[in-house]
Amino acid sequence: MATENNVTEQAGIPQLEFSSFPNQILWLVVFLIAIFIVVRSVALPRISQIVSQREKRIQVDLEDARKLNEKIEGLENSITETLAEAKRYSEGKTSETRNEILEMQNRALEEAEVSVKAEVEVAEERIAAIKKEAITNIREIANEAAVEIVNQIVPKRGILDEISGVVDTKAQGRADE
Amino acid sequence: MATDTEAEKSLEIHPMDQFLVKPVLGDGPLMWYSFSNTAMWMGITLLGIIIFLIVGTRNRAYVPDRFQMVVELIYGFVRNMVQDVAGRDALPYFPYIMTAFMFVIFSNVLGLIPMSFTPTSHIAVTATLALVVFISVTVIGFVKHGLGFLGLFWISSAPLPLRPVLAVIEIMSYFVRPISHSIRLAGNMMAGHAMIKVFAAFAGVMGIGSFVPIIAISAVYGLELLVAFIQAYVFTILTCVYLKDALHPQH
Repeated sequence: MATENNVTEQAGIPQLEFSSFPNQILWLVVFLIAIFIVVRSVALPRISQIVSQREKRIQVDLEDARKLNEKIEGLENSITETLAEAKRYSEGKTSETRNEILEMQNRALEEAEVSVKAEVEVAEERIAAIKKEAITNIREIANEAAVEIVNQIVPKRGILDEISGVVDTKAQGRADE
Repeated sequence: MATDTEAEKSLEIHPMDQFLVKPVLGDGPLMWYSFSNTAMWMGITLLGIIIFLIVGTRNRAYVPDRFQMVVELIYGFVRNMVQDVAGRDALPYFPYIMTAFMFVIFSNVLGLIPMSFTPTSHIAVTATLALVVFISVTVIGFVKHGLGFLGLFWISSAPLPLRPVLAVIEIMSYFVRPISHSIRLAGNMMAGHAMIKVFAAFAGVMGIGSFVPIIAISAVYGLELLVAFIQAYVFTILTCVYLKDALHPQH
């Protein structure tokens, strides 16, 4: 207790108690060297390694990300090109098919027209033949009917030949029409 | 009368007692080799630094936990400070500066634990630190630049007649560096701790009104915590500035 009181009395400003300086400096040097060894030999290499490995990892990851990004861009370009090519192909194919269809349609129309025309000609020929035949038949019937009528009214040979000639002329004119 | 004497006794304040350097073991006189309270708290500082730096980074994780993140933050902070202030060529001296920073900040902060001891409140400690810095940077300056280091004192950008006068001022300023470097740190640490002790003594005798000094202690304690960090930063950044002068003495 006495010692403590003495110390308290001596206190004043303990920072200026020069007798304690060697002790403080000794232990400061000892512990500073110890701290320096811990910091330099263990702590800093470890932290530096952690930080540099992380930085390397980040760099590698960033590089991978950049490569993947480039790959994605390449794929995007490839997809865009493929889509454009597919569009061009489909447009070409559509146009080609449309032209083919139109061609087929025209050809079918032409064929149908030719066929109809041929059939019309055949039909016209048949109609003309039927008409001619019908007129021939009508002339014979009219001729016979006229001769019969005349025979009934006037039994004279010369007149009959004259009537027959008139009927033939008239029938011929109809047939020509 | 007796009560007055008792009150006077109880009002006795010894704010500087906390700075007494005493042997930890025994009541004998303090010898130069005694294991003193300074030594003990320096040892605790060393232990704290080991726990902080070694245990904090034990996982060596790519994605750090909070502890490791704080360690890396401090590491990056000091490393960037050295690089930004003194330049890239000062990085080989980074371990020395990191050692000084860790010692000062841990001593300052651990000294805020009640009943503890603050080695950095002693001028013997801070002056030794400052002298180590001063002698080191001076030696580095002469080793790196020879007599060209003296160009630090010769301000070639000033008018010629003024240069000798400025050189004298620069030389004085250079030699005052370790004094200001050490007194700044020790003074700040001592003043705050002494003030807390004074308020604590008031709290002991004010009875019901003791909440006032207790609030004051809390406020000052917060301020002291801030001062502890700021002074460690100031001590380290000044070391970097002095190192920069040694590495690049040209004005």
